[in-house]
Amino acid sequence: MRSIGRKGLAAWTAAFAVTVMLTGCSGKSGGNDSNAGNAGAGSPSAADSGGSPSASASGSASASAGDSGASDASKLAPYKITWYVPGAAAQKDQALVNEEVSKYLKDKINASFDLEVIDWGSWDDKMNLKFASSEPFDLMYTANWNGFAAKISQGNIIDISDLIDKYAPDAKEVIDPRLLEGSMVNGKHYSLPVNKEIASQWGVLLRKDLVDKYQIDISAIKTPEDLEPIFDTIKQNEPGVTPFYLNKDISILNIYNTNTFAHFDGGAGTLMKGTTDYKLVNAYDTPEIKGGYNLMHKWYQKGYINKDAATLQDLSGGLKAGKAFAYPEQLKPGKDAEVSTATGQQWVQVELTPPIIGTGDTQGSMVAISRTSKDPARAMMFLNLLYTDKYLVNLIAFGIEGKHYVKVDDNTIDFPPGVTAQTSGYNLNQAWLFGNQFNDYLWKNEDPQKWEKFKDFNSKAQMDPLLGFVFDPTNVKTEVAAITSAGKEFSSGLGSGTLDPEVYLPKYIDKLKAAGIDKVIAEEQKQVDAWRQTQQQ
Amino acid sequence: MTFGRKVAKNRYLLLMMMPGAIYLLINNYFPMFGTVIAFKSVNYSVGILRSPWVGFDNFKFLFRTSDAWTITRNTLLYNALFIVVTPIIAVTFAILLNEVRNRLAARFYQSIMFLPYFLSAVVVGYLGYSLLSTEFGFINTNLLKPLGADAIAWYSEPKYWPFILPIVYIWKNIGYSTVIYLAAVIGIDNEYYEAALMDGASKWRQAISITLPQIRPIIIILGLMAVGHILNADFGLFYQVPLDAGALYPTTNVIDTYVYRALLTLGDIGMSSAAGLYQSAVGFVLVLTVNLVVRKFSKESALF
Repeated sequence: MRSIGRKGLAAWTAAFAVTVMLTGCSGKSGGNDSNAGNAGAGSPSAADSGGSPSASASGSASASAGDSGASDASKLAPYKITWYVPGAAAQKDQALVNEEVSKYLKDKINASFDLEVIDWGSWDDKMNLKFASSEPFDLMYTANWNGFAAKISQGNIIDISDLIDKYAPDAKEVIDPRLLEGSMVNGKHYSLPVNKEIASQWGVLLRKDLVDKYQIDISAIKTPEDLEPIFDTIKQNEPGVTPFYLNKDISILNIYNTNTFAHFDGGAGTLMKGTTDYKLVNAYDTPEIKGGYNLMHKWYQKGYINKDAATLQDLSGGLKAGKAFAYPEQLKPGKDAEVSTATGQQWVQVELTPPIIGTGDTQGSMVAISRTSKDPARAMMFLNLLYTDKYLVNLIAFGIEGKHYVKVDDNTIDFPPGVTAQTSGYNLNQAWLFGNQFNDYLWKNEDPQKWEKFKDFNSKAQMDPLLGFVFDPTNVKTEVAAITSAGKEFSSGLGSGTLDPEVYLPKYIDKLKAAGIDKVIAEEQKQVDAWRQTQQQ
Repeated sequence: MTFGRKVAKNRYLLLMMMPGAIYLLINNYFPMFGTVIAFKSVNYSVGILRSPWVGFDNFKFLFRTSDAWTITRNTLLYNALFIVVTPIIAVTFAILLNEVRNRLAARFYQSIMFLPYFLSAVVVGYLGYSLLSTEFGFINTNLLKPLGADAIAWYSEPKYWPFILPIVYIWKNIGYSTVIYLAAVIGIDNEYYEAALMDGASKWRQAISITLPQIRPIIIILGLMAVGHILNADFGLFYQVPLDAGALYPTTNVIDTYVYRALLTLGDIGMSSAAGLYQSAVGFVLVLTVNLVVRKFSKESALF
C-alpha cells in the first residue's frame, strides 16, 4: 500500500501526457492559432477540434449570438455549463440544486448547469489531471495561492478581457474596481474575482468566557506584546489551557511582519516601510526580521505556546476541546461569530494590523474560464447573471428554499425545522466561492449589518504597494523550488518559537542564500519595474 | 522450429501471459513516452510535443543546494539498510514460523505480523505520535518519567530518527517479506530434512545447510529488485511518520519528500518528471551492475 497514491498518480499523469500530445496536435491541425482568449474566434474552432457534432453546433451558434450582441435565449443552442469548485465534501443534494439552476437558466441563456464540488484534499491533483487530459469544462475556482499564475503561464485558463466587455458588462459594474483591477495580470483579465471583503487583517481570537472571567480589557491590546501579561495570567490560573495555541502554519509573524514591512514575502522580495523607489530587499537581511522570531521564542520558553506547535496540523481540534485561550487568525468583520459557530466556543476578536489590500486578497477567490471550455461566451453570460441575479447566487450558495433553508425574513435564512448543519443535504458553507457575496442571504446567527460592515471594512483598507503585481517564477523555477524546500524546513520551527532564532535563523538565512534567493529577488525586481512602467501609463 | 510453429505450440502459455503483458504495456511502457516531459517546459495550450525543449534545466533543482547531498545520502543509506536488514529478519521469521507445528498458531502469528503492512502511512504516523509526543506520548509519560529521566522532544531531535525510521519500516513491512520467504521455505522438498535428520543434523545446521541455500535464488531476486528502487524512498514513511517536522530534515529528508516539498507550490510536471527519471535511471544502472556481479559468482541466480 505504501505511497500507492503518489505512484498511481505518477502513472496516470504520464499516461495522460500521451493524451495531451495527441490533443495538442489535433488542436493545432484545427487551425486554432489564435490565442484562445479571443473567444469569438476561439470557441468555434475549439469546438471543431472537439469533434462531436453537437458541440460544434453550440459553439458556432453562440458565436453568432455573440456577434449580434444579444443574449436572446431562443437563439442559443442548448449548452451545459460545468463548474468545478473545491469544498469540504461533495453535497448529497447537488444534483437537485443543479437541476433547479438548470431550470432557471433555460429561459435566460438556454443552458443547463453542472456544479461539482471536489474535496480540498484532491482538488489540485484532480484539476491538474483534467487539464492534462484536456477534459472539457467551463469554469473553475482559482486563487493567487492556488496556482493562478501557473495556470496562466501554462495556458490552462484563458484571457477573458474581451468576453467581460462583451457579455458581462453588468457584472463588471457590480464588482469593486479595486478588486477587478487587483485581479488583472499583465493588463489582462484571466478571472472574475468574487465580490467580497478585499482586504486582510490579522489579529488574535480570545476565548470569551476567560476574557470575562479575568475582566480583560481587550480595547487596551494594541500590539502583540500587550498580550504577554494576559497570557501570564492564563498560564498561572488555568491549568490545561494553552495561552497561545499554534499549529505548524500559523504564527504571530503574520501580524508582526505586516506591521513591520510595507510588503513582506519571505520567499522572495520584501519592501521596507516608506519605500518610494520599490527597491526589493531580502527581509532576512534586515535587522527588523528578528523581532517576531525572538518574541515567539520567548513565549515558547515561558510556556505560553503548545509544545507540539511545530508539528501540529489541525488547529480546530484543540480549539473545540477548549485547550486554547488565544490563537492568531486572519480577521474580517464577524470572524469571531463565524469561529464561534464552527468550534462551539465563544470567541472575541482583537485586530492587530490595519486591513491591507494585497494581491493575495484581490485574487483570493476567483472564477476562471478553462482552456477546454467549448463555449466561453456562454460561460461568461452565466457569470454575468451570477453577479447580478440575487436568486441565482443564493440558489447556488445555499440550495433550494424550503428544503435546504427557510426564510426568517427578507434577507435572513435558517435551516428548516428538523434540519441541522450536519443533516442538511446542501450545506456547502462556502458562499465566498460564488459571484457577488453582497447579494447573499445571511444566516440567523450572523450580524444583520454584516454586508454594511464589509463595505466599511473595504473602504477603510490600505493598499499594499505591490497590489496587482503577480510574480511569475518561470525563469527562476529551480531557485524557487529550493527556497520552498528551505522554508518548509525552518518556518514551522522558527514561527512557532520552538527553535532558538539565535541558532537557527542564521542557518535559515544561509540556506536561503544558497538556494538563490538573491537571484529570485533580482528577477522579481525586473518584473516589478516592468509592472510599474505599465502602471504609470 | 519456425516462429509460427513455436507460437502455435505455446499458444495456451502465451494466452495466459497476455493479461499481464497488456497490463505492463499500458501501465509501464506506454507512459514512457512521457519521459520527454522531463526535458520540456510544459505549456498545455500548445501540447507537450510543441512545448519548448529546455535540456537538463528541469534536473537542476535536484542538485542545486546543499540539500542534494543530504537527500541522496539519506535515501541511499536508509534503502541500503533496508535491503540488507529486511531479508535477514524476514528469513529468520520464515524459518521460525515454518517450525511452528500448530498450524492455527502459525497462521495467527503470520497475520499479526502482516497486519501493519496494510495500515496507511498516515495512521502509522499518528501511532508513532501517540508514542513519541513530547507532552502526552507513551514513551515520555509512561517510561521516561517513572524512571526519572527528562522528557525527550522526539520531533525536534534529528539524531534519534536514524533508529526510529528503520524500526517503523521493519515493523510495517516485515510481514510481507516473511510471507514470501515462508512460501519458499515451505516449498523445499522434505526429503532433504529427513536425510539430514538421519545424519543427526541439528535444527540450526539444517537451517544453515539446507534452507538457506535452497531459498538463495529468491533472496537474490528480491534483493536485485530492491536495488532497482534504491533511489525511490518510501514516501509515506519519510513524510508522515516524522510528521513533516522541519527540524528533522537532516535525517528524514529523502529524494521523494524533497521533490514533493520543493514542487508543492510550483506544480511543475517537467521538474517532477525529471526527478522520477533520475531515480529510475540510477536504479536501472544499479540493477544491471549488481546483476552482472551476481552472474559472475552464481550464474543460475542472476535475473538475466
